[in-house]
Amino acid sequence: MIKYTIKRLLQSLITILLAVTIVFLLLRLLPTDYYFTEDQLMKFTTEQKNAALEAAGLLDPVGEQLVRFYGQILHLDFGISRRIQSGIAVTQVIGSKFEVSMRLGLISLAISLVLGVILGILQTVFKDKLIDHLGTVYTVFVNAVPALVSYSLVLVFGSKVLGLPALYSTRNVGPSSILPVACLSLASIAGYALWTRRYMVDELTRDYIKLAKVKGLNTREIMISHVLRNAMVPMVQYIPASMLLTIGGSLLVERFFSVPGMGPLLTDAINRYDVNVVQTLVMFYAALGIVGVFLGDILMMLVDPRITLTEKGGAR
Amino acid sequence: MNMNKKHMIDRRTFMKAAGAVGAAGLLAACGGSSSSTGTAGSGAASGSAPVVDNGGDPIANLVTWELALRELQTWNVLYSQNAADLNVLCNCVNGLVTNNIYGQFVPDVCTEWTQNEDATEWTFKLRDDVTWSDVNGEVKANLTSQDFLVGLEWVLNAKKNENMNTSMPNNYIVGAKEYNEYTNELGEDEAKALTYEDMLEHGVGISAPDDYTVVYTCKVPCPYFHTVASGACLFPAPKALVDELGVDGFLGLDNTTMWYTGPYVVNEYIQNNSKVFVPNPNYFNAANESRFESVTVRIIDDTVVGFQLYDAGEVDEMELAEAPASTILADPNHKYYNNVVEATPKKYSYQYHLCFNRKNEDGTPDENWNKAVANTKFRQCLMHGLDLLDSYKRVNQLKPLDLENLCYTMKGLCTFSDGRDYTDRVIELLGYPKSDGKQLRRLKDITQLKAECMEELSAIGVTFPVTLYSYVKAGASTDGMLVLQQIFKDCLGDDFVKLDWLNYITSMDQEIRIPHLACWYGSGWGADYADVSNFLGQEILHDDNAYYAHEYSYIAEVAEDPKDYQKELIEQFEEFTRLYNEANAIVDDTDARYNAFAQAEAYFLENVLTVPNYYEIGLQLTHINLYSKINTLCGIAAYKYVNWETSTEAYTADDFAAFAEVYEAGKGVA
Repeated sequence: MIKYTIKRLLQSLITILLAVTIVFLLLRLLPTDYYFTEDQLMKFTTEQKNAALEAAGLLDPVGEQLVRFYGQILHLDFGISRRIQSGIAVTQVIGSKFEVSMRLGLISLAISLVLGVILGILQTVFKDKLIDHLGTVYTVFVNAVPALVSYSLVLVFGSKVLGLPALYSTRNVGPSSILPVACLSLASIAGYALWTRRYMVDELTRDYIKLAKVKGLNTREIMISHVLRNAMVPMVQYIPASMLLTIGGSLLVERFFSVPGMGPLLTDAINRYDVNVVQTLVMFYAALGIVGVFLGDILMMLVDPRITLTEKGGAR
Repeated sequence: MNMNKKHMIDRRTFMKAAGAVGAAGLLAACGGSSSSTGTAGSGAASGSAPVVDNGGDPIANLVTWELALRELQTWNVLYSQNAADLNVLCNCVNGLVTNNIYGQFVPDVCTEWTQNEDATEWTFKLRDDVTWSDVNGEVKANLTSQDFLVGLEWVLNAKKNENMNTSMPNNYIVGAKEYNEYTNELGEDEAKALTYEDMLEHGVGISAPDDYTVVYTCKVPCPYFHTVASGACLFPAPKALVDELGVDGFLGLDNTTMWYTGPYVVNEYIQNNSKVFVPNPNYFNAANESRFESVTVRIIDDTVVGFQLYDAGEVDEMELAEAPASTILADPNHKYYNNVVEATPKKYSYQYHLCFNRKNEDGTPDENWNKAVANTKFRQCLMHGLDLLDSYKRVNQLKPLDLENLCYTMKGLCTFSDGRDYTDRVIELLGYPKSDGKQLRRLKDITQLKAECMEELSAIGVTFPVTLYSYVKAGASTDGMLVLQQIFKDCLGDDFVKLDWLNYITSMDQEIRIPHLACWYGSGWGADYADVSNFLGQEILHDDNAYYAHEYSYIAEVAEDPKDYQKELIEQFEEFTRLYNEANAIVDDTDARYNAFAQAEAYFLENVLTVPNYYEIGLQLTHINLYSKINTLCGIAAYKYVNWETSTEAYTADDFAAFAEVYEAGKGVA
């Protein structure tokens, strides 16, 4: 286990380094026009443009930039933002945002897990009955309707009918978080319900369930102690990653409700050619993803003792 | 009109004008005397009646908006050349000169300015009651002339300000360019250690004879230098703050570390969410300007979401995108039907810049297009044949004719001494009829012109239809282009000119403009300073700074080695350049200067060396009298939240008609 963990960690470091190097090189392929606003593109002379790019170190040979970048990483120096918040350290730019995304994301995850799993159980118990059909309609609706349309419906209903704030506000965090959390939860509730139902229905066809019935266990006992527990095994694997990735926020929801989170940051940074911010975010997200998968493996092992993590073989 | 004069507190003159038109509410809009604790709103500045009483109360806590893609990038005004930043910072810091609601230049932290005989030396006397405060309202220092020296040194020092905002000082101020180049060559630490004393030793044309006087020396006569002084490039920087934070700290200012002189401080800033402005308790002009108790700027995704926010009462104004505007205006019973109002024009004059040296994708010249566009009659067909009304309706369904731009220079930028707008003189010279309220003023019957043009062009081997290539970003909506394509078909005919477009993936500049692939470019120019030369100067020959001549029309390239069919075109540009240079040489008589520029511009447009397109006048739902906002076509004060007339009841189109009437009357007198 320890050997496996160390090996996975080393692999992870290499993966992160590769990912961030690829992004670093891809960014250098983009036109530097992105570095400037439309007005600046028009009004800056070529000399001014070059001077601005030079000040940002973007005119140096790519190899030189890459070596400098690796050196900075070794010193945990992620540089300063040049276009998102000019002159501010990248860590400060990111640090002020991830707490908001994580808070909303975790609340949404908790709601989605509880409601989604309950809905999935109910759909399984009442398979082919009204509740099952309603659950299916909800799932299909959420997946079929474009997210922005369903968010608009939530916004109009929430603000006009329920009188909730339409935009997130740091001065009124509780009420103004309701609509973003609702939108974040909409799709994931459907997702958890869908997979819970599917895995539980699968489990219901297994021989051990027939045996349990023959042994005289009641339906509730079978459902909770056997079916649900086994159905959850493939799902728990993704929970740590889902929790960690809440830090990344949601581009659409955060943009829609003006949540000052991480969601739009990566696209904004790419659009504005803020290379330091992009590189740091990519590294951060890659690390989160890898750690999430690793934790998922361990959690799955804990839930199902038949699974072991070894260098060769095992469940994964 | 003699330009060698002293400019004293223009506001007083303006107040007389306001009194003359008898519109008491005008005082509120432009700044009269009032309590500093008054809120901006109907008549709040002067305690007088509002221009329109629509039954609402003045708004005390304004909530407005900005698009996420225009979120602020820097709090350092000297570093910014970005309107989105300056819309925020104009409430926080002040320059020497600002604008009033009519766009006239008035003192800001100065009390007066004077110029010498040949307009090469400009002296600004400063107020002695301006203080720098921190975000908590604690006074940190007095603003003195030294701050302007520190500010200019910061701008010109390449290692401090990274060459941002250098173009105007470099162009106008003695020694500025040389000092800027010197710092470019210095090592980083060495350059960062330089002070304003070093700059003065290098002979940069700025001095501070006493604590409240700043003198600038221009390289050449510059009769409009006071308008240059309204730009961020000449703003002050408090020496004590620069010393305290160091170069990196001052470059990376935020709302909590910066010092304020302006009407507000920003006590809350959540990036991509909101900014909250509250009155600066030490604001020097508090007695003369009304302010809101707070202004909150919410960041939104787009104006479609914004409409929902307006509908939910969460913002006090909202621009209307095409879809909600169409929905509202199509239904007279819609609750907002009467509330759709026309916004005041944005600062850009949009043109279709014709490319005179188009190339095919393989890099060879597109002879067919280049021959066609070099023909005057061909260009006149584009100008007078294309009925762009349907295109304008996409922006403004209410009064699309208002969008028609007949000139090159932006209207409102310059006025003659009798108050007449410069562009009115150009239009007079062009001989356009008054609007009949039905169709564009430029339209003419081009049947004969088209026939003659086709005959002339056929004789030199042009094949028809000539394809005019425009461009669209891949994945972006082509709705606008489809409308334009239909306009070409209807107005010019498929036998003559056909509109087509090219797609680009990431960069229009790299993929379309630099390879010379488009036949025309839709582009809007916004003024850097208030002189016609800032517009027309972009089109002349033999000038490296002529932006459009070098970067869009490529006429500068054509002029180096014109083909036979381009000789007439080059003659036209030469004549235009001659007329321009004659006008630009007049520095002692503004009216004569503008009149000469008008002749040059009329010649330019008669020969359709570019095709004027439109003014950006959208539609809004609003609780704000837009005519009470500062009107600035250059400078940074457009979004200064002072003296705004507001109402808790949304304004209607009728209210706006009344606002416009009072405004026009006031403008005439002012």
